[in-house]
Formats: sequence, structure tokens, C-alpha cells
Amino acid sequence: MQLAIRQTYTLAGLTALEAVRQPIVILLTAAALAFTALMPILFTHTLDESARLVRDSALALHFVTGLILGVLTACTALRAELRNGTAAAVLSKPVPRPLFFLGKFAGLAAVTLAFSALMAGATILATRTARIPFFYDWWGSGPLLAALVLAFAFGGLQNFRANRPFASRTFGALLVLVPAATALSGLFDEHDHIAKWGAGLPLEILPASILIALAILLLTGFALALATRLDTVPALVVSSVIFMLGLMADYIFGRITPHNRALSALDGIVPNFQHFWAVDALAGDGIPWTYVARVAAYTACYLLALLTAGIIAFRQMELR
Amino acid sequence: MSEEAIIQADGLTKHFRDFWRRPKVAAVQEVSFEVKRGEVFGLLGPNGSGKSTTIKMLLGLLHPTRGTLRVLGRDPRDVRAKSRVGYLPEESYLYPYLTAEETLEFYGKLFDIAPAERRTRIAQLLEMIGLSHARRRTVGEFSKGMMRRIGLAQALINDPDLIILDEPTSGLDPIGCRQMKDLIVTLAKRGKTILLSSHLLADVEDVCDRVMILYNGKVQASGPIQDLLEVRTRTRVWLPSELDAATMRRVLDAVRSALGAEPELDHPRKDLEQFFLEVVERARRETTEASGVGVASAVAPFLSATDTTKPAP
Amino acid sequence: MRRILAIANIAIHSAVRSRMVVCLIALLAIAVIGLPLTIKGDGTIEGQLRITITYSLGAAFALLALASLWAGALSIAREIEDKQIQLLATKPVRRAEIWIGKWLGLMIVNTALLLAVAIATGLLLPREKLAAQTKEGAAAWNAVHRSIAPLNEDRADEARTQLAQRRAAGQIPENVDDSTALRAIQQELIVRAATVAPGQQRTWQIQLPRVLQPDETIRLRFRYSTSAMGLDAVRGRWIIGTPAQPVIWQASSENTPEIYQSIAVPAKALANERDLTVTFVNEDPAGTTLVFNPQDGLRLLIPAGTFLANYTRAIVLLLLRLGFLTALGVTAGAIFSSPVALFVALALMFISYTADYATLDYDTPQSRITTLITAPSRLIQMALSPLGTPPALEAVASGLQVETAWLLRIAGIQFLLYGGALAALGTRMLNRRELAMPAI
Repeated sequence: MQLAIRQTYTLAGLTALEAVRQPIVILLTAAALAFTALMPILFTHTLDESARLVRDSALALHFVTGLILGVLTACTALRAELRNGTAAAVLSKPVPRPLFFLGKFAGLAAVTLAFSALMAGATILATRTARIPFFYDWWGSGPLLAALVLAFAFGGLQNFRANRPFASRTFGALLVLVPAATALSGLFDEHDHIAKWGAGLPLEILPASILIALAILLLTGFALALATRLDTVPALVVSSVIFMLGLMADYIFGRITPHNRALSALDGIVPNFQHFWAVDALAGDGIPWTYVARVAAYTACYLLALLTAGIIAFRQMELR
Repeated sequence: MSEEAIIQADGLTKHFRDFWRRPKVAAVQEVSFEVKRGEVFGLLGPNGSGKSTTIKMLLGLLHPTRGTLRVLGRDPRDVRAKSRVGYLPEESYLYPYLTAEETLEFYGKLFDIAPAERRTRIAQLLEMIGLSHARRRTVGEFSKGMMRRIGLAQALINDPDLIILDEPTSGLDPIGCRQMKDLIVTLAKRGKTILLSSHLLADVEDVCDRVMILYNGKVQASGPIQDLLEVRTRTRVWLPSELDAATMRRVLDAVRSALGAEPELDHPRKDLEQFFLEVVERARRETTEASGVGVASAVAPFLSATDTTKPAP
Repeated sequence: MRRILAIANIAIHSAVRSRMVVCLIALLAIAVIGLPLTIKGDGTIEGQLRITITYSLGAAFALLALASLWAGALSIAREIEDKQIQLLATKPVRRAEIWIGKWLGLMIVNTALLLAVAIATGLLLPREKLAAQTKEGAAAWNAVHRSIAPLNEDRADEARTQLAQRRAAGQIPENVDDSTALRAIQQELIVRAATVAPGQQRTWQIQLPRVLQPDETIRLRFRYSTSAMGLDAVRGRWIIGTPAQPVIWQASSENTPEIYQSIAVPAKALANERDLTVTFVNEDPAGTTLVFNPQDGLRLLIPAGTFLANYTRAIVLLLLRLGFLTALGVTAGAIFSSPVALFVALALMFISYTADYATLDYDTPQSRITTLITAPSRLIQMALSPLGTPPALEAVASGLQVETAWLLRIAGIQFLLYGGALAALGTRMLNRRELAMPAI
């Protein structure tokens, strides 16, 4: 049992490192963070609505970019390993296949959760900057942009001086610097005075970000399970369709006539992404933590089923 | 053997650079050599010595950092040069979902060979590599040795003047190795120029006219294989049969008095390769069916004999 | 050509073998057969027609777009990573032939799938029901209309005159500069022209592209808003004539605001005319003021061919668009390694779709920093503006002609110009790229 946990842990670490070293991860992350940081400037001409617009757009960006990231890394990671024989090499060691699969998922989950954490910080900071009409509160986007620039400088320097991989070093630096920027921002209120920590931060957004992180986790699991059976492009296309269906789930399945068995079954299979998009509640009383817990439980059940299906498919697979 | 240079490399250097454009690895440094028409030229060296990099520059897949390189009198990236070159890569770079026949069909089409001629050549090549019976199977199901054979067939489909073989015997069993070497010798006799790389010394020794030994990207030695291997300070006398003891004593005494030193005596041994081949050959004669790969036949007839007058297209 | 076809053949093989084609067929079948079952329209047969075309065909096209983009991105990138290109590139093949071969292979798959979808959707259309419903239904099935916009009225001169008058009268404050005032006056003129107060009338000039046949029926299509709250119908009178003979045909109308309305007009009296005037007289007893939508408040619809011809036009348009997207993917794959290529292709596709929406208002006063930030986006927008997708499926579904101008734009600019530029870029990158780079 101990060995199993250690093996899974090692595999997960390796997968996460491998994923983070792919240029795609840092490309998507940096682009999403930079765009979020600049949103307050880009959406100037909406007067008092701009905080809401920035918040909703940042959350939407988090959602979509995260899903692309999860699906792309899941499909490419597993397929690439199966193709170039690394999977076969690992599985020739005494590593049970379910552990290999779980390790892959855990590693990818770690990467998407890290991405979500970064985006949650960025969303809060960008919303802060846009919160007061006709005024940029630079304690929001300012530290975020500084963190981005510093992380890139750090990654570049590490690569230049010590030949370390740029992508993973920069990602690692972001994981330190973005929380640091958020912590720093929390120290000041909008009048540049030191206040009780968090006074200037719209922390009520956090539950919404967590819900989105759960959705990303779910679709990553879906993509990974599909990648056991399908090649990269078909897996990507099917994942995208699942994503679209999930977004429209309420619309499509909401009006199903009860006798349509096939559709009810499909309704059961497709995750309902509406559960994860609680931005409307943010405009009202905020999102209760009990709701977040319920959605987390939904996600956990779903993932359990998905991973089981994935493991079964993976066990029956022939490796070359 | 004509004196026309098929490959001319002068001061060939390849640096791999990092993101900041700083040289990271000097894979090949100041390598100069010439390969004449009809020669079998061997690139010898341990793993990572720059053999593959040199070959990939010859094929236009990598661009030299410095130095000049002419293949068949042209830039290696020139399509006209490529139409007269055949290349067997180190590993199988074939499409796994095509059958053996489709694979050859595909590469044949890339050379604009007329359909009828293409069909003849494919049939002959499949016959030659002993895979006629497997021509409808997809390459993905093939064993490594079978894939190498298909690789060889695709390299010869255009009846090339220059054949570049990257580790030609890797992945082949001893019979396959022997056949490959025989084929190289036969092709050379037909006037083809062959450049091969290997780290298996026996391969090179058996077939090459000249070799160049690379280490760390630099030329360590080069020249005709005879010259390189000959030990001029010692002489070996081969006798066709056993001598009786008295005659032997007389011979040895004569040698001893002439040289003033004691000669060494031993019986010639087969090398393991030769022995192995004999054993297998005997076994094969007893059972008609060989596993996996059929028996290779003579060289495909379309591969033209010496033709030094062929004009450049 | 033989080389290109051979490479295309490989691309097709690889698409089939990677199960992409099977997956697509399954998903396309769901889109074509499944979607119309799940989405209930408004119950009318026209509604069903609309849903079948816009949703099924739209979803099928979206799937194909995504798949061809990604398959394109992987086709070369994957071949470089798996090193098959090292064999291909040592044959006497130009790099341009590799690019074109890959593109062609995927387009053959695309064309086959799109045609299959188009035919299946065509067969599933509620044709018999439409025909059976009424005689007019049968006619409507084959009645495709071309929508003619009124002539643009040049208000620049009038605006300048007004500006001079108002300046002279001191109605414009001193600190407002001429260009700002002129813009405001132009806006005002546009709104005034679109507004019809009770008892007043509004006249549009329309030039027909061809003369009408006496047995044809044309339609007036319009949409207005009212000053009154609610959706009470407004009474008015439509008059069609020529500049020489203002009243040739007229009819009273009573129509609900906010939705598109159309009135059939027999072309008998209008035959052989090309310059028409259309006048609306507001005769509402309740005294409601109307505002016609300045963009598409009024259109004259004239018959333009059969449904089948129009449907074919839409399919051709979609196919050309797929050609552009595939080119985008293949070029991304020639430049980047696989996951980055996938993402770049996707991002570029999204950006090209935003061309329909991205119209930032640059006229609002800006600080220097926002000018700096928006400068590149302005350039990008200029490059993107021809990349929008004309609403071909919506047009087919509502019986409007897929305009020749759309087809020309997609074929000329997107397919030939942008597609050609992508091909040139992809070829250039393939030429420059060292295809046997070791991983160091």
C-alpha cells in the first residue's frame, strides 16, 4: 500500500513536471494572466459596470482557458507516452496499470489546480482595480503585472545562466509570485493605507473560482479517460463536444420528454457545467460554501466513475 | 572507379544552439572528406560521435553551421540532388498504417516513376528483400527486421546513384546482416556509391573501401581500409593444409635463421559470425520454411549496372 | 501533381486510421439526426426548417471546423515529431508540395463529410410537410429571395450645411470642435430619417439589380420600434412607385413592432422598372411615433432562384471556409510543435470568429496609455475584418439568398488571399526548419 502511494506520487510528480515543461502550459497561463491583468484598462467605457464586467470576463477566461489547458495536456500527455513507448517502459517496471493511470490524472490535476489558483488570484486582483468607477486602484493589477514580469525575468535568467528549462521555472516562479502579489495587495486599502488584511480585496469571488477549478478537473478526467481509447484529434473533438453539451445541458436536457430513454441516458453521462458557473449568484448574496461543498461532492462522484472507466479501458489496452 | 566526387564536404561544422542562440553542442567540427563514384565509404564512430548529424546534413535535414557541402555536385537541399539519392534511416520512419506494398508505392510516386515501371520495381524489390509474401500486411505489424527491409527497399526504389545507409545492420539478425553486406558489395559492383555509418566494426571492415573514424565530432582517422588496418611489421603465412612434422621443423628453422626471432604458430579460426551463418544455413536447408522473413533472392534487376555516363537530371 | 496526390493520400489514410473520421461521422450523425429531435422549435414547419438548417448544419460545420483545424495542426507537427518527415523530406519533394498535399488530403475528407451532412440534412428537411401544408407552403419552399437594401442617403452635405447654420445661430457651444459637432449632427440626421411621427411619411429610394417579371411576387420586409410601450400593432400605409409615378401600388398595414414583418407585393404593375420609391405613411390613430431600424429597417425582397441553388451556395461557402481553417491548422503545425500548434490554431480560429463582433468604439476620448494599447488591436482588427463569417445558414433557413458578395469575399479574400498567404508562410517555415533537430 505504501509502495502504491509512493509510486502514484512519483508518477504524478513526473507527469506534472512533464506537463509544465511543455511550452503550451506557460503560454496559456501567461496569456490568461496578462489578459486578466489588463482587463480593467480594456473595459473602460462601461462606467459603473466595469467591476462586474471584469470579474465575469476574468472568470469566463479562467473557465475556457482552463478547459483548453486540461483537455490539451490530458490528450497529448497520454497519447504521446503511448506513442513513443514511455508508457510501455514504465509499465514494464512493477507498476500496476491503474496506478499509472491514476498517477497521470493526479499529475494533470495538480497542474490544472495550480493554474486555477493563479487565475483565482488574478481575477481578484483585476476586479479590485476596476472596483471604483473612474479610478484605477493599481494595488490590484499592479502587483499582478509585476509578478508576471518578474516570473518571466526569473525563468529567462535561470535558462540563460544555468540552462534550466524556462517553461517550468517560470511556472514555478508564478506559483510563488502571484500569491505573494495577492498577499501584498491585501495589505493596502484603496486609499493606499495599510488596513486589516484583505480589506481591499473582493474575496467573495473565491468560491466562484473554486467551482470553476472543479469543472476543469472534471473535464480533464473526461479527456484522460477518452485518450485511452482515442487518438489525439478525436479525443480533443469529443472532449470539446462534451464541453459544449455540458454548457448547454440545461437547455438541451431541460426539456426532454420523460419517455426518451436515450436522451435521459445522455443527460446522465454529460456533466452539467451550469452547476459550476455561479457568476449570477455573485451579483446577489454571494455563493454559500455549502453549495461549493455540494458541487465538490458531485465532482468527486463523477471523477470516481470517470477514472474507473478510464482504468478499465486502460487495462484492456495493448501497448507497443 | 571514376574520379568524379559524389560527396564533397569541406570544413563541415554543426553546432546546435540553445534558445539564446549560444552554441550548446558542437556535434560536428571541421569535417572534410570526399566520396568518389563507386566507392563504399564508411563513417565509423561510437554513439554520439557525429555520424548521424553528418548524414542528416548530407540529406539536407540539418543545415551546416559552417563549411560547404556538395552532394552529386549540388546543394543537398536541391530537389535534383535528392532524386538520385536513396536513404535508409537508422530507425523505421515508415507510416505504420500502410501495407508494405503501399509504402513502396507511396515513395515510388514521390519520384515520378511511371506506374508500370513502379509496379515492376516494387515486385522486384519485395522479392529481393524476401517480403513478397507479406506485401499486403501493414508495416505497423512488422518485426523490426522486416521494417528495416522495407526501409531498404524504399531507399532503392529510385535506382539511386548514391545510397546513404544509417546503421544498415542494426535490428537485423546475423543472416540479415550478411545479406545486407552482400547487397552492399553487389550494389557497389554495379557502380553505386554507398555511404554507410556504423559502430559495428565488422560491418565496416567487410564492405568498405575507405573509412573515416569520428569521435566527438572530429575526424580521428581516415583512409582506405587496407592502409588503416595493415600491420606492416608482421607477416602471416597461410598454408592450405597440415604439414608433416619434419617439413614444419625445416620451415621454422629457415624462418628462425632468417629473422633471428621465434615465429608464432596457430590454426586459423572461423569468426563467430561465419560459424553462426554456417549453422543456420545448415538448419535452413533441413527445414524449408524460415520464420518471419522469407529467403532473399538476388538483387532486384532494375538496379542499374555501372552507368557513369548518366547525365544529371 | 502525382507527388501532391500521394501525400494527400497519406493524410487521408492517417485521418481514417486515427479513428478521426469514425468519430466525426458519429458526432455528425448526432448533430444531423439527434439535434432536431432534442430542440423543439415553435411548432411551425418553417420553424422546424429553420432549426434543421441552422442548428444541425451549423453544429455539423462547427464540428468539422474544429476537427479540420486540429487535424491540420497535427498533420505536419506530428510527422516531424515521429520523424516520418525525415524520410519524406529526403525524397525529391518540395516543401510546398508537402504543405499542399497535407491540406488537400484533409480537404478531401472535409468535402466528403460536409457533402454527406448536406445531403442528409437536405433529405431530413420537412419538404413534404411544407408542400402538403398549403399551396403557398409549396411555393415558399422554392421561393428564395434576394434582399435589396435602400440606397444610402448621403447626409454629409446636409450635415455640413446644418453645422454652418447652427454655428452662425450660436447654437453650438464655443468649446466643441467642428468634427465632434459634425458627428453629432450626422447621428441626429440618421435618427431623424429613421423616425416617422404620426401623420408623417418616410420615403426610401431602391434600385433593383434587374427588372421584375409581371408574374413575380416581391416582398417588403421591415422592422420598427414604437414610442409607445408594449407591442400594439401600428396602422400605416405602404406605397410603392417610381420617381416619375410615385403611387403605383399601395396597401394599408397593421403590424406589430419589434419583429420582422413582410408584405407580399405583386410585381405586375412594377414590371420593367428598376428605380423604385417605397413610402411609409404613419396613419396610427393612437398617435404612435415609429423608428425604423437604421441598419435593416427596410428591405425589398425579390425572387432569386430555387432553394436547392441557394443551399448549394451555402455549402460551397462553408467548404471554402473549411479550406481556410484547414490552411490555418496546417501552417500552425508547420511552425509549432504539437500542443502549441493545436492551441495556436484554436486561438486564431476564435480570433477570426471575433471579427464579426469586435468593433471597439475608438471615437471615445482616450488617454495616451489606452491609445498605445489599442493601436495594435486596431491593426489586428483591420487584418481580421475580412475574416468574418457571413450568416449563410441563417439566410438559407429564412429563405434569403446567400449573397454573391459573401461568396466572393470568402472565396477571394479568405480562401485565396489568406489561404495563399498561409500556404506561403507554412512552406517558408518548412523550408527554413531543420527537420531532424535532435531533442537537446
